Amino acid sequence: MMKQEGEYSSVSGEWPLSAYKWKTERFFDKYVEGLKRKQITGIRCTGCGSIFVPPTVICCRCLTRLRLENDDDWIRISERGTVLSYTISYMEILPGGLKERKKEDRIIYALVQLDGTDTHMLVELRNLFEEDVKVGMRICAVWVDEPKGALSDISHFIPVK
Amino acid sequence: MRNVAIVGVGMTKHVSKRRDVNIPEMVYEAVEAVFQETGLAPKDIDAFVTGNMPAFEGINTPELWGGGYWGAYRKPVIRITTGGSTGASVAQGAIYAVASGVYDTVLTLAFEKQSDGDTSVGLNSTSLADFANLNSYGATAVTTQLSSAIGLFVYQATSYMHKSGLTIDQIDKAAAMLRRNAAKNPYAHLKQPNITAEDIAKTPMISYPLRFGHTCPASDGAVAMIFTTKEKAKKITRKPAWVKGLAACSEDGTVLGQFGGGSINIDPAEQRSCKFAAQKAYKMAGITNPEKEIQVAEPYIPFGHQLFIYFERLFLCKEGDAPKLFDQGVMDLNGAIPICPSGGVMSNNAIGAAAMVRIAECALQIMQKAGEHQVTQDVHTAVAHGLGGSANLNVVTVLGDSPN
Amino acid sequence: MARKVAIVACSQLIYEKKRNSSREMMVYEVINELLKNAGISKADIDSFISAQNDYLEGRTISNMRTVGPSGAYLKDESKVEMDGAFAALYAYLRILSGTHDVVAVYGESMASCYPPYLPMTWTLDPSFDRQNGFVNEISAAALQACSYMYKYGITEKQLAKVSVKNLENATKNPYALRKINNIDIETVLKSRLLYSPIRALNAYPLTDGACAILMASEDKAMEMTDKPVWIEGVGTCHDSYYMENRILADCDCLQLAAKSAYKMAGIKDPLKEIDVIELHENFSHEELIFYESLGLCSKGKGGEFIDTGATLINGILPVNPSGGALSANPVCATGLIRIAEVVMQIKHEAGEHQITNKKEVNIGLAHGQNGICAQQNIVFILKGARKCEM
Repeated sequence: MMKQEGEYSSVSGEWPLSAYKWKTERFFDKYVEGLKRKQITGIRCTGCGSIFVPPTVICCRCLTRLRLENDDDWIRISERGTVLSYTISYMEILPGGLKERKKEDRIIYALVQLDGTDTHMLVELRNLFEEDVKVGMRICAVWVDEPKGALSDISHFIPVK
Repeated sequence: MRNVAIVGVGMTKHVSKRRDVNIPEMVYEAVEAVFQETGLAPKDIDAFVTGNMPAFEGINTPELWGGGYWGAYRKPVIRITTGGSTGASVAQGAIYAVASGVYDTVLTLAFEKQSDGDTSVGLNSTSLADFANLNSYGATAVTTQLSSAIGLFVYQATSYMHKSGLTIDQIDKAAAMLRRNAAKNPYAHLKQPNITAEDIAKTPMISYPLRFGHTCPASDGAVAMIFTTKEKAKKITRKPAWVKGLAACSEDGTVLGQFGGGSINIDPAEQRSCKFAAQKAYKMAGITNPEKEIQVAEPYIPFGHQLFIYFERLFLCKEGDAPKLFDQGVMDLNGAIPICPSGGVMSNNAIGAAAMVRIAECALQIMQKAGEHQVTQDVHTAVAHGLGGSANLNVVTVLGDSPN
Repeated sequence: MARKVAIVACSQLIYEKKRNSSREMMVYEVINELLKNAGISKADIDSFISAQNDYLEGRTISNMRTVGPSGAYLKDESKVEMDGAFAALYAYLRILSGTHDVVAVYGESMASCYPPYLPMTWTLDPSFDRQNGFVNEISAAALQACSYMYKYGITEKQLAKVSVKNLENATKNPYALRKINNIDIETVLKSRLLYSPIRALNAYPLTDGACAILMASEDKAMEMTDKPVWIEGVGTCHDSYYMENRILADCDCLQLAAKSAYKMAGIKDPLKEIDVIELHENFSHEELIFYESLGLCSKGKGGEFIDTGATLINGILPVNPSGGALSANPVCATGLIRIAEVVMQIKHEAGEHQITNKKEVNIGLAHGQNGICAQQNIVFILKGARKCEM
């Protein structure tokens, strides 16, 4: 039988996520160096040949450590690719809840596979109407005017023929 | 594998907020229910296997606090947690415990008290850690979009819609069907007996193609099950459910790879790990033609489109056929393979418990104890599925109505 | 038991105060080492069980991202959110069920990533204990130590002897984190007081580390190694959360767990029949209490027992020849390390900290614990094959 109001009480507490420090290796270093030069680069797994863009530390297919420090394992990747999947964000996800975007503020996100790679990456698509986004469409990267060696150097992707 | 029987199921009624009980008290309700159902008591239990998703209540390993309330005093206790698939992983832990011969009767518990904490903060704890690397390199705004579950599963939907021709209209119908099923389930959270696809279609779109009406609630609830040996089962219940096959499989994240790098899980709708797990479980169960041999399925469906995806990934039809079969009524409560007669995760989602509720519901169907939402045909074999992580942890369990 | 299960290989990484790598790379390295030691590839493994704790990791679903680095890609994997020895129990159950033949178990944690000692306070009852703020890992241990010392007349010197023994043993263990050469009782008694009577050297060090073991069914074990170490018995027990309900000066829960394990393994006189013991002792007084709970001496005689020197590395029953948790405690891995160390002793592969004064080390006991003041305990009895049996 459920207790009635007044028969129970609550106390509050928190799990302070900011008290944690997560460690990662500096493995995007060469990748962002490439971005600064307006080049997309990927790393090839010496075990199975899979090409990862953006790079990661371990190829889980063959359990091989990717040799990020080895220039020979990095290869230049095309700026073009294909849309594997997409979504159109109608709502902003904020701490308080969901907030509906105005139609012109909707953002199109897509999972794209750049030509010649074995991975997908999550990007923003622009220069197209919502109705025109299609799985399988060809897209191309657009750089910011002055790349500074950060992930934001690739501004967004646009459709191409 | 030694025969493992399910002799009882106990559940609390899932609601959005149980502010009148704390965790041990809430879980006790499920424990009390299963003890009453089976006539067993703590002295009859040889081990406890328990789990929940730790992030939501702010309590580390709650069974340390709650174990005594549940009859686990001075007993073996194992805790298993694997995110969304926790409930299924916990149940499988209990199945292995009995199958091993070390423990004869095992009580398994899964629960979640989402109202104790902020669900989005809890889920955020995965993404903060995941994005730590991306953020240190000036991550673009895309990562903020991923800090909610819907931000993750939505890509599965679009990819699948492209390959199979599924329409948003059909997702609306699927969501309505699940909510109507839940209306017959006394334990479900969201019951909407008269809801229609049009009602769902009126709800706002959150992120194409998923509407608010396609998403699962956040519930407080607990489920308990008792697994035991063939010999002991005979003394407890006339018609137990039997474990015929079980398997789990994990793969790379479906949207971001390790540390935000590229994921080799190219198509988030492919769910190869689900197919592998299903193949193994079916093989163990001796099932060669799931389309004909399964009478009920309870896949883990927090979002409407997944009804179609997992129907196919559990090999209940050929790839691409699910939308067509849905329209033909195959998945209805009185169809050839009813999907989630309980209403599924879409209607009832205490995250830690949800995957075990799927197994419990399949057991109830086999034991003919599902009451109003009992499917019309005889259930000889049922399949339950749990999904967790970045849609990369899949757990499949096959139950039957007779031992090996 | 119809099926027999053996541990065929194990691996450890050097324990550090602040490891310079992500936890994923740490998992990758310890698994790689395991595969190398076992002479197999990940294709030969049927399933993976990990021991990780979300509140220590600072992230939920902590096994979501260790799938890749551990080799569990497209494999059956699960996670036990307790001390690694419990993950070993789960792996054992999986193999006994007949559905898995080869299971890899790994445990890891990085103390340098989480706020020290706080994660344990999050196991406390939120409505009362957490509001009071009196109980944390160390204050609870101090209450237990005080209760134990008062009830049985145990002295601080006897507590210090545990630290001296273990930290001295650790100097010969290449993996250990805290090693103090020529350590003596005075050094321990002069170390910083945390909560009386617990001093810094009576408490475990915050550690980054990982450990992995490989278990296999009898047939596979015989193929993979000529020195399989068999699991003869296991017992586990869960005590009351409320310290008021427990007699802190004893550890009945461990006594029950050990009783279960001894029965399964057919051990009647542990002091005579067991050759080595590895305990998960977070604090020195725990080790003395555990001597009594394991039946090595009678209740209250833990202090006298350590005075006899019986548990020194060249004593009649060495306890923690590796240095125990006092020398390195990567929380979720510690129980697995105890198992790994016993395995190494039985296989005669413990290097410089190998027990040498016995004819052979054949039967070992490995212990793991969880919760405040060892609320949950697990005991494994492991056995090698005598030379004449092979």
